[in-house]
Amino acid sequence: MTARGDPIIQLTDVHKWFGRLHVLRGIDLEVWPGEVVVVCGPSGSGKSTLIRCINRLERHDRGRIVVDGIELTDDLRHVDAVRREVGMVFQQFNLFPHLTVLQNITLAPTLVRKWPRQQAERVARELLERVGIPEKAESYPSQLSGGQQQRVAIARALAMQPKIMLFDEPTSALDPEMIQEVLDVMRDLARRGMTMVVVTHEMGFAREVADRIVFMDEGTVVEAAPPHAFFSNPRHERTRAFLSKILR
Amino acid sequence: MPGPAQFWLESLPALLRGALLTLQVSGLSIVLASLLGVAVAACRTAPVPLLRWAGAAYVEVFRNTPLLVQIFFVFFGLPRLGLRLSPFQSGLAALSLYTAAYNAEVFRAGLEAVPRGLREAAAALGLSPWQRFRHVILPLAVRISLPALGNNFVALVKNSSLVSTIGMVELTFVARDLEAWTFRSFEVYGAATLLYLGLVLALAWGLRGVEARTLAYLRPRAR
Amino acid sequence: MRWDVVAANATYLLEGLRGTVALGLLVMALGTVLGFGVGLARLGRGVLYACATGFVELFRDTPLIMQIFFIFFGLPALGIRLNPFVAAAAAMTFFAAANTAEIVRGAIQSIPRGQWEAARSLGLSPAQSLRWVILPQALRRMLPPMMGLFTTLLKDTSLAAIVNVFELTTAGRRVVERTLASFEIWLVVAALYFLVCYPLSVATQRLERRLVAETA
Repeated sequence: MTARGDPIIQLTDVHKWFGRLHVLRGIDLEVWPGEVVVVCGPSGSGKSTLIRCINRLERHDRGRIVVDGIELTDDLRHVDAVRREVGMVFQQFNLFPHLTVLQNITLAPTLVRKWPRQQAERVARELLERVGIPEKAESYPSQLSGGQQQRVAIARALAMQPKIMLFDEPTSALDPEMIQEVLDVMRDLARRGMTMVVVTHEMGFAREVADRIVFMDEGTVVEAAPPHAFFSNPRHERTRAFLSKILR
Repeated sequence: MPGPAQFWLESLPALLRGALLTLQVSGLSIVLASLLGVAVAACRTAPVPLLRWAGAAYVEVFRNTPLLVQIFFVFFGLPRLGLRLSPFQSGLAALSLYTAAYNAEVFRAGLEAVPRGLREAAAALGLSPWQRFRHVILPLAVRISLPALGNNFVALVKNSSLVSTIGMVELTFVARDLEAWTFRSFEVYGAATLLYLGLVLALAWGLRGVEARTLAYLRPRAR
Repeated sequence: MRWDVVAANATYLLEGLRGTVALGLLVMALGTVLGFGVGLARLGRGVLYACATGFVELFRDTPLIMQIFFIFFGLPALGIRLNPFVAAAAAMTFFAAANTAEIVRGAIQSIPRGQWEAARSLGLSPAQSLRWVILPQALRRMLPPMMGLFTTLLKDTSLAAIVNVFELTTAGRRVVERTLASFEIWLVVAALYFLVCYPLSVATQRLERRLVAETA
């Protein structure tokens, strides 16, 4: 499934330094509406930094990032506008521990979108239904398993009705038996046509769901290809080395 | 009337002598309060209920009454029992007893914060209970306690100002004395405040140095 | 020993205790409000941050007694004359505020970065993130140290005696001057302070344990 038109995310020659560490070295990347892009690569390759730049949790030092027609600059209104359209799911869930599951999900819609409480709660319960844990609405995050917490985090991001979802290693902090339940939710999301950028090591998921796989190493995009080409015929030596390690 | 600069210059020797005594009583109290604090903490974590109770009572009594009242009690109250102490001795005693209660709590928390696994590892290596305490638990507990202990020491320097109320000629006393003679309260207290600030910041700086050295093992090696 | 002196002056000492509690409550209330402002300013940047930092360092790193002297004896030199009660209360309020500010800042900074990131990436503004996500969590962490500070403040009100404000220590000193029963009176004065401070300490420790148990 590849949709065309104008790219919804466009990165042009993006650079990022942490002190003297050059973590992104000229990234060019375009993501089209409805596309699922999986970003993979060894740790320290800059893949997390890359997607954190897309909603400006990190500030890029050079180059241009345009999301849904809005360029990310120091102008905070642009940043807020982009963040309203982009949902993010973190490795460590980052649920708000002092709020119930339902409150976690309704917080942003009521504060930012100014929805009335009933509407926000109705949407929240629908989303909980969709991620398979409607019965946990009144629970606190600490009472949930890791997999359930991550599903709540996805529901929380979806409640803002984003056009794009970013996933930063969403299954890396999970026990193995909980990984599938989270991937199932993400698979469902992809099927419904959500634009997704996913940093993950789950190559099975990538092969099955991704439209394109981007392999990063040392702050550059080494190779970007559809799954079939990527896995069966990687062009670069570094990609082959990475795949041989991760696929065994 | 001399200008502020000249006035400061003239009163500086007296203030510095006062600061020196502040430093002396604080330094001695730091040592005494640390030793006593370890002893009380050991009591509080001892397997003997009576010791634990005595340790707890000590901590609660000294932490829940004002230091000023403790100083008055030692200096004015004890002579009626036949124990007559000089202002310096009274101040030293009260400051040490008071700070020891706080130090004891810090040490106790430090002892309790040593991971169980390390105690077990030390035991599994065949170390005796004393060896475990001396070579594994205490060194770690002291390191864990250092930041909080430093706060107590800084508080101690500030608290030593209370000893001026019973006539010990330390920095605060000198300042009050100068002020009473010259009526130049703003300059005098300003100068004394700055001297305290200097003492405290110097102490804090020194403590950070000690911390940095002893806690180096906690930091990952720089790339 | 002359315990009859204690009985004869019990009412007077209790009046002193009332003064102590009143001064303590006043300082806690004012100090908390001011301290919150200063603590939040410490999280920012620029002039506000610099002023807040200067305030905190000055009042935390110098003895409270000096601050009282400065305000009571020193400010008149600038034409500001305060009565002893106001001077002592003002000095203690600043002292309380400086310590509160550090508690507020510490608690807010102890909330994991991920909480800010999650709130911001949901589109909440910085103020909304602080109000709805960070502060509710930070407040719980502030509670035990704030109660500890209150105990300290209650004890430190005794310093008001140095400028002759009427509270428990002043009451004790006056009785001692009159009766010379120094041992008995100072013991009883200490006991009265203990009676007020100890329950607060116990409550603090309980709360601390409960919060630790909840977050574990």
